[in-house]
Amino acid sequence: MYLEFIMLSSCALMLLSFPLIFCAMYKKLDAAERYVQHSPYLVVNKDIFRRAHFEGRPQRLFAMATIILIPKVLQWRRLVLVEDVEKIPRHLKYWMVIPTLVTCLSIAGMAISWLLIKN
Amino acid sequence: MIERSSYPVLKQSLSLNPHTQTKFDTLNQHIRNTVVLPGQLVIIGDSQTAACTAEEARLMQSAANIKHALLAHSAADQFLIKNYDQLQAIMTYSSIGIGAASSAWSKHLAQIEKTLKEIDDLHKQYLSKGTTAARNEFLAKRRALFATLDGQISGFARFGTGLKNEGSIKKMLGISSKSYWHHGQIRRYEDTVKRVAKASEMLKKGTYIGIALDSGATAMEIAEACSTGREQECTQAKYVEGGKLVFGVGSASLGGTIGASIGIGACMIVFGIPTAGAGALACAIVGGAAGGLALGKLGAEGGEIAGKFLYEAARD
Repeated sequence: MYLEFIMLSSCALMLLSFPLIFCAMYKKLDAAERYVQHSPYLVVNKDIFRRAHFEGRPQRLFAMATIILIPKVLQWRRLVLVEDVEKIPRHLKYWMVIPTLVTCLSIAGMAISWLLIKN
Repeated sequence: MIERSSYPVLKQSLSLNPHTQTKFDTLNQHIRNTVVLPGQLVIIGDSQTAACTAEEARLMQSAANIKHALLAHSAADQFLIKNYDQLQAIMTYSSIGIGAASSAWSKHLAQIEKTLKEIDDLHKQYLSKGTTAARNEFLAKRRALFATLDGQISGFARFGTGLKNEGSIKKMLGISSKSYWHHGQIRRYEDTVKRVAKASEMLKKGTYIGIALDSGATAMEIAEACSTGREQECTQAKYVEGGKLVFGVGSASLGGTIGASIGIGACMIVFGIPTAGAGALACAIVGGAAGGLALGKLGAEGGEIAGKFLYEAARD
């Protein structure tokens, strides 16, 4: 019974992630991107997805979250500068990371409860 | 979607009345007394009339065509029949996932199409002039365009163009001065451009095709459950199939987005892709398709469980 509840909660969390993603990608993304506008990682993502749905903003949001979460790994491959990432204001960092983590959490919840239900 | 079952078992499971049973036999001559394979059309007639309606006649024709198509395919291999469910899921969720990155690939194919057209225009211009001075200029310009095309279709970037590596670009495109003098066009050129344009157009519609396929399957499942006097199954199907559709499409779309981002990120970190070339595009497409398929299937399963849970909660 509790597994079904976890699944249901994960589904609800996934539904919640959509307005969060849309809000972040239209209200905060441009401001956050300005701090790392010369990062090759962001430039490649922007170039590839510029003709995708919603101008590729959902993909760019996930790219920004990656930049904020693992800047040192990306700097090791010369894809971003840690100093640039540190200049991003805290509230903008939260706006980039939280929708991504909520989505990942809902996916993880769905996957784990589905595996446990199947077994 | 039905599993492989025998005709009498299938007929029995439908609990038809004696009159409808006779009509069922008439309508389903294509599967009568045989094993009903996944993908085959089973027609349940209008129970209010013993005569066949025009709609039923059309369905009989379609059912016969589907049977022939399935048998023709199974003569070569049983892959489609054995993996019908799997293929349907791959087509639906992968196309939604690919949609996340396909616009970029469609742009890449459009650029190849533009280069091919430029090569054709160059040949036409040269043939209209035909002087020795024009020949040198033509050769130089053509070499530059061939170099551009070579870069555009190197490695994985060739995917979707239908162009095969035949040593030189001239051979690949079927270009020879002789064919130009005789036919006034590059051999296979028209086919190539059409193929590239079609692939580009199809990629753009990936997401919509996926959503249409999933919505169609859901509508059919609900219609089947609500066919005759099965109110409980009908209500349950609305909850379960509705949940599968909403969460399947939603998850596939998220999976495609995340998969494409992870694909590019992984390729850039592992291979150190410096610019937005075809390599990064390929990673986005593969990541998008894999993410869309995996999360689409997971979301559909989750939606099914959530739908059942909600149905039981609403019933109690």
